[in-house]
Amino acid sequence: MRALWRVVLLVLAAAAPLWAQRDPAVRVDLVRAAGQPDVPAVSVSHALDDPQLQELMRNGFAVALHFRLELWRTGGVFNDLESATQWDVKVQYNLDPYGKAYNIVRHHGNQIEDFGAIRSLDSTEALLARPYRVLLPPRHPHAKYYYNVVLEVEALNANDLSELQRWLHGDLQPAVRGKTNPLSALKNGVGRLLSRMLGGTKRSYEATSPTFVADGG
Amino acid sequence: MLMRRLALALALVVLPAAAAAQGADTTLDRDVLPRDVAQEVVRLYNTPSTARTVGAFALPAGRVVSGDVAVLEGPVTIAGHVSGTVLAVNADVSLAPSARIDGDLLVVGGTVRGQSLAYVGGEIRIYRDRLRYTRDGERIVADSAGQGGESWWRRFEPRRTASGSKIQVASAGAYNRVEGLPVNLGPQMYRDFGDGSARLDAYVVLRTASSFRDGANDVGHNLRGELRLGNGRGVLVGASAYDLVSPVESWQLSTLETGLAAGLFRRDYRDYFGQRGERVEAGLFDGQRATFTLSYADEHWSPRRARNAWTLFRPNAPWRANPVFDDAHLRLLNATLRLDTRSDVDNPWAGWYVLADLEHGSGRMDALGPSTEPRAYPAGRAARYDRGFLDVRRYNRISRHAQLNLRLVTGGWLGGDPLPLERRLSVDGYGALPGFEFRTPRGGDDVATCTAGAGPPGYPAQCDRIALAQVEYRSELHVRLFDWAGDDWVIPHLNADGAWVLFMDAGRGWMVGDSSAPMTYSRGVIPDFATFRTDIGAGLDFDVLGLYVAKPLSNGGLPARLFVRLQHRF
Repeated sequence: MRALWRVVLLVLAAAAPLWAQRDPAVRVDLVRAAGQPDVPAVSVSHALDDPQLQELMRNGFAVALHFRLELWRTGGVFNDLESATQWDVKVQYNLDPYGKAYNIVRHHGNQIEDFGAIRSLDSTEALLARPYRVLLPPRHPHAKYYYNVVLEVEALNANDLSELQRWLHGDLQPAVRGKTNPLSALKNGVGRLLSRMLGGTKRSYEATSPTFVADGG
Repeated sequence: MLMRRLALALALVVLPAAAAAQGADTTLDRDVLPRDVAQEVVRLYNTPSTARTVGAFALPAGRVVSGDVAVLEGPVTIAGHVSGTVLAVNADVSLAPSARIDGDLLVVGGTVRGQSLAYVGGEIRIYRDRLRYTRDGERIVADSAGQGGESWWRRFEPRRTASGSKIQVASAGAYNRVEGLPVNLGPQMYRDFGDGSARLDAYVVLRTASSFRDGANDVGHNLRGELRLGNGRGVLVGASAYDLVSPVESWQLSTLETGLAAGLFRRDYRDYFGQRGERVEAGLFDGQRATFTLSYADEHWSPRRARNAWTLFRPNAPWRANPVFDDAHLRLLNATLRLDTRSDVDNPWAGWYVLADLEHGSGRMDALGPSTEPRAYPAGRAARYDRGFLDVRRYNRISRHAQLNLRLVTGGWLGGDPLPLERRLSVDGYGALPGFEFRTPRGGDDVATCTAGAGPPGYPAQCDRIALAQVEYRSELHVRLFDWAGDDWVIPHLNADGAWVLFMDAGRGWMVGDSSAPMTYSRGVIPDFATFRTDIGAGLDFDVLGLYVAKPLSNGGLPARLFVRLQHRF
């Protein structure tokens, strides 16, 4: 039992820095265009507030915001997941001394939208906070629905996109390539693994919309 | 000493300190179009077959344009049909629901409206940055100055390499008391040929707890080849040869949790045996949703003993003995179905997860490990058995913020001779009945492991059959302490989204045979529910860390137990 308390204290102490920041707030609202049914609009505020993410970006990592929007139907004993769509927003800090800026691109299905380079973090966050309208219409007229959005925030290294997944499988390949000595690779890997346990490299956020009734056929 | 270890652990865990905020910069956008995009735009615009126009362009509904269309400075309004690609340079594009573009839609220096209702057969690419150009008659020329580099995000796209090979150094399983950390070392080759893929792994398995002195069992191997035919769904065939140390039961706790408990606290929640042999398999797959395989293996199983594997804490405490398992040569025929319709693998709100396995084993039992009940095999210890295993989970969302999840695990002997110890089961431990301490000798009959009395060393799973039902109610939890909304001061605060969980578990194992023996029932009988172990509990689950407490119900005198999980209970 003493060992159990030790690990609890260890985890809490290590997690404290992660709690000393403002977390991203994802939300999904219903907006109505003239003559059109309600459509979900997804936005995220404080997406890049985390100093740890900012530090990673200044060191060449990109930040990936992976969104999954789900349409749930209520009315039965259990809610039914009727449909879903997902998209990614990637943000990279450009270290070019003549053009330091944040590059933003959104991938959604067959659509790629490049927002160009934005010079300030505030403007970047403002862009991410703009509602993004998504077409995910209900199939059953007059049924009750709500939207659920899941946001996963993760730092990506361009040289090693699947580094985290590889480490979770125990891969120490950078050491084999001669870029890192094996002990450093092992130490970094353990650190990454533990930070993964604490949510330090990939974090998940969720929000739901108000319940609404689908328009008639 | 303890403090030094804690400091070491913290040094590994704590991430770099927060850095200063980004410097303010008032300039918003730069007009820099990626160079490769600019080149593509110019090439497409200047292609002789492209229909070019300058200024506003509108294509009414019912009208058809054959081939590619390029519009300079727009705006562009499309309600009709373009059989090729549409290029809009420094122009906004509006698509009516009736619009149809068979090729790509490429927009630079503009935005697109209506794309979700219109049909675009190819890719839609929108670049907010304008193209800087000069006109040369009907052609355009991109200004060389000020054009940016290549499209940076392509470096972050998932790699779909057609082929490749590399030297792999990867953990081969959980840290454990028999091997320490098993490490795969060797080449990995992969080839994607469009309608399928082929993969070949050839590893030696090194073990950090190896002495490298006592011969053949110190270094293992794992060779595996697999061919998949079909995109998304199709057929697969594979073959493998291996010499591994394998867990007897891996369905309770995850490999991560088991490995950390062993490596940090010298508590190993699995038992291990040596598994050496060859296997061939064939099957069907449907993406990540479903796999069905038939496999045939020829294997030699052997007992392995615990070594003095290093741990961060309690380095001088004894490891729990690894049970002495049977030594056997067996031919195994397995039919395995895996079905996964969960909305999310890590944090599912709805869906099914099913793992079903049927195994027919036949061969020779060379030496029997100690067991509570004596086992009898025919002359020459020829053995033939049938065994099944089923793990069914159903995740149900019952409201916007709550879910009710169910799990049933059952399995064991179906026919033939007694099961080898390697195929016995238990419902003991934090992944099954967390209200009860793991592998603790208990007085009388232990229906969790089917051990009577003191039990063999290591307290192995000995049940012919098990049944376990788990139910849990989860509801979202939002914790905001000292988090003052709208306050720009950086104030440390607890800010965590998670779930609170109520759960109940019931399960037991039993033997099959002469019902006059302890814990033994006839083959068609399921023990009375009153004989099941039950517990109830509650916890806080923050996805990556869950703190729970469980209280036995069937043995009310036992104390409540606190435990930690690093993922959902199931």
